[in-house]
Amino acid sequence: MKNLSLSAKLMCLVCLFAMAACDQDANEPDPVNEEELITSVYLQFVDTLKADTALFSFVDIDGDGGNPPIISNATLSDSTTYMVEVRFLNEASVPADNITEEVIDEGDEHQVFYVVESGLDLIVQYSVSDRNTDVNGRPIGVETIAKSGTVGSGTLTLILRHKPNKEAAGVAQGDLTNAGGETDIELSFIVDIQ
Amino acid sequence: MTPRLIGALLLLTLGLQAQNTCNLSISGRVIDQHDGQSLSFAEVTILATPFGAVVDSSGFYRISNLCPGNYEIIVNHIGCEPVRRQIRLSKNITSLDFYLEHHLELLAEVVLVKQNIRRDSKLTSILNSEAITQVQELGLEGLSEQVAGVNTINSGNNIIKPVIHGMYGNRVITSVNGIALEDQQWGSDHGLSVDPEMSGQIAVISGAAAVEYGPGALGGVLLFSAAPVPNDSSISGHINLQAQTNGRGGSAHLRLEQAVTNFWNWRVQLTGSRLGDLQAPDYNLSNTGFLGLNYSVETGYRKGAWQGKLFYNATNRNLGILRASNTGNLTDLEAAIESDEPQYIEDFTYDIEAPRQEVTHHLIGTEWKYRPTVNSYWELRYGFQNNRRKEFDLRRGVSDEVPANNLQLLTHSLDLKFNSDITTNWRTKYGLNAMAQINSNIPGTGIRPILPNYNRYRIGGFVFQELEYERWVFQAGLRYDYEYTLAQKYDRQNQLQKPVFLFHNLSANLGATLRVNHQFQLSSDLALASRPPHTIELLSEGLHQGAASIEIGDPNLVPEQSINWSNTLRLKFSKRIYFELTAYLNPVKNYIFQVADSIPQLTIRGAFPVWRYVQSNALLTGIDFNSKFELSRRWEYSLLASFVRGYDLTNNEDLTLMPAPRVNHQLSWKTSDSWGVRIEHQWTGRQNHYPEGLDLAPPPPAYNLLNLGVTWEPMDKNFRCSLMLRNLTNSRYRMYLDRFRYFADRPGINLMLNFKYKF
Repeated sequence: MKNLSLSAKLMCLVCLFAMAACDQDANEPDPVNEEELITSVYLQFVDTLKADTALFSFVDIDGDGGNPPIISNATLSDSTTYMVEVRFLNEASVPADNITEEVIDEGDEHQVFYVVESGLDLIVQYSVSDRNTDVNGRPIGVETIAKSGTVGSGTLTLILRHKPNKEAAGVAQGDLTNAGGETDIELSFIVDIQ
Repeated sequence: MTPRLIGALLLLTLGLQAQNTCNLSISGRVIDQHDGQSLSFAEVTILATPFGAVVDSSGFYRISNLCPGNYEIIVNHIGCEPVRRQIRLSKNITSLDFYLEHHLELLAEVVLVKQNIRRDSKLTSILNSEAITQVQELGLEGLSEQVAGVNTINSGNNIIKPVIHGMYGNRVITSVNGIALEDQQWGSDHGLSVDPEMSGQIAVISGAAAVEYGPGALGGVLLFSAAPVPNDSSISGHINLQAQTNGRGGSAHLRLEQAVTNFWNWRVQLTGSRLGDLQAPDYNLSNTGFLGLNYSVETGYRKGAWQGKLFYNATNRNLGILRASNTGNLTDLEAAIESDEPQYIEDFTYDIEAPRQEVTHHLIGTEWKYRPTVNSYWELRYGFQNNRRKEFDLRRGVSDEVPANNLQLLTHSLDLKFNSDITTNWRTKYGLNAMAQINSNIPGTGIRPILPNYNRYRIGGFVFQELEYERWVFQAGLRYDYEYTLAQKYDRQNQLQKPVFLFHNLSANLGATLRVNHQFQLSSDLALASRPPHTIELLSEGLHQGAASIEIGDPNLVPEQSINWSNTLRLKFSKRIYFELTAYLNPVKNYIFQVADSIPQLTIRGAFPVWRYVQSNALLTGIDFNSKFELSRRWEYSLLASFVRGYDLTNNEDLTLMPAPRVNHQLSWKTSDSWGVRIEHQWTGRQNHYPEGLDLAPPPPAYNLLNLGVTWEPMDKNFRCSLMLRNLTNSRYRMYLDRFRYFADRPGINLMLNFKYKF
């Protein structure tokens, strides 16, 4: 492309009738500002009895495409009850945007589901708390209680649905079969119960 | 009143009635449009009657003993394009003049000799008025029912893209009043910004026509143009009203036109349409409503050797996209495909919510023709287009009213052509074309743009020669284009990149037509066309939410080069039987298409299929068949069939999204002069040739559709009523080239009522 400017000038002959078209700077795009991007999910298990925590994380700073996401898994103790909290962040933004609060504010349009693989002895139930309940009294799913059973491992899939049908059968209990809606987040962690 | 007076009055009215028999006449002159000279020996014929006249040496004609009624008149003269006009005869008309244009556009248009045999080596289908009416009543979907070899690729019923010989999108050029339409066509979810109701003439060129129309006419050209304003000094026009049960809506179209003086005329058109959700046989197709408003204004001028036109067309559409088609990740998509019914079904509504598209297209153009001598004329066309496309998705964190994709496409185009008849057997055409285009993403979407901003310029020229020798016509054309594109995009490191692309494109064509006799004609056309990659194919990057996939371009793509060899056989027996058979072979080197990575990409939303633009050597081939039989004066049978095959020669696989085989046939019966009934059967086969493993769901099974139509068009009135029952058996079916086949059935039964009134 040696004669780049020459070609550009030749082309400008063409735009005798398009003065604005010759002004290439006029068409400069704005930098990308992805507003609703969720880059990171942190799932924290807290065992209040033993003051023990386990943190699972999924971080994809550059969003869709580019570098693959970094997933970090953790281990849980057997026969333990955990208070679980999920946080959604946009860490591409500085300071990081806490999307969890948006999800709670629009709680009637969101629900988080936890799908446990059949070989894994883990039961996850929604907490009953103000933070975890939407304006219609239905669970949002940002706070849950997880009870681990026997030793083993398997996947725990976390799904955030946007505009699910919260009235459908089983949805309020955490069953997403009839939930519908669009999936905003779907990721799997490997849980090891020791 | 005295009885005597009453008697006299009665006698008078009876006498007047007696006079109201068939003794009306029309007369006038037939004039050469260029120089105003009379065209002696032109023939003036009234269609569907035995009446006609030959123009005398002073240019006058007269046809007498006519009954009152509506007539269609056609005026023929050797070397001129025939002129048709509809008239309403209720009293004598004495200055029904016709202006004929000597000689024709060479490539795209066709010479209609008395027996309707075409000289053009390219397969050009010019729709007659009945076919145009069908397309106006049904929309672009109707085009596939009128022209063999034309299919459609859809996203539901609101987004329809024509497919010609297996090619669509950027491989098909749509020309509106001679200006190439520049609206975003790179996505399969981009419909065409054209209103067929505003066109008086529709034609389809199947096969490469790049020499005259530019790079990108690999698959063919769709031509929509306004009919000439009738030579009527009073304001005339028509109203077209349509209502349909499926969607509970309809449209209204108004056309007003006037030839104010012999020199200038104007026309105004307006179309409004509204539809609510469509219904599949078993459920409501939620969020498939449509709202459209189109309008156009044009004015024309003619004096001596000059003829010009200025026009403005605008189309505005707000179209709903099936809510159930808006899936998130691959898991959602697979769940949707598994489910027999759409995952989102609500009650009928007229509301159009996200996901939806708002597309506005403005076209301002001017066209001038100048005839310095009898044997030559110049054409100049300039057009400016502004296309605004907003695509709305279901958003989280931002209102659904903030578009996910917001594009503005501005295009200037200039065309200069010179047509000349060097001798009566040798015609030439030269042309120069320039185009400047800017594509901009309007900020504020909050999403990384999938198509970057770009400035694109193109300049090109062509020559075309046509030679007639005995029963042969030979054609040859050559074209060169130079294209420069500067794109601007932010990469993932937030650095502004400004890649530049330069393309040289060569197109050519060689054709021959042999008129063996009045009934049998053969033509063969070899065309070379080259299409530079579109900016989306080079630089796309990101999640195309509407397609639920990540699309990645390749900046190293090179132009496609196509060689299209098309052969057509035309047979006409005894005016009652007409056959047309076309076979084409179209190898394309560096054919650009998308393939899915074997491993989907993991994102926070789950897994998404990744589609990459790649190129390989392909071969498209097919057969079109078109036939008509006039079984008797009142019965007619027609059959249309098309078959296309596409191969990826490099990877030894079938090409994706090739139209399935189709056969349409129709039986029509004119029960009387005013009433007609027709029944149509459409068979679409299952596409058994597709790349395995590339598609999430196999192609749908074959299906049959039955349509019924009844028309009432009384001879002495100015209106036409038609009733159409489409999919009258309310069959469930899905179409391979409809992206919504993953989610829902196509619409079920539909009763359409159409009323057209001319004034």
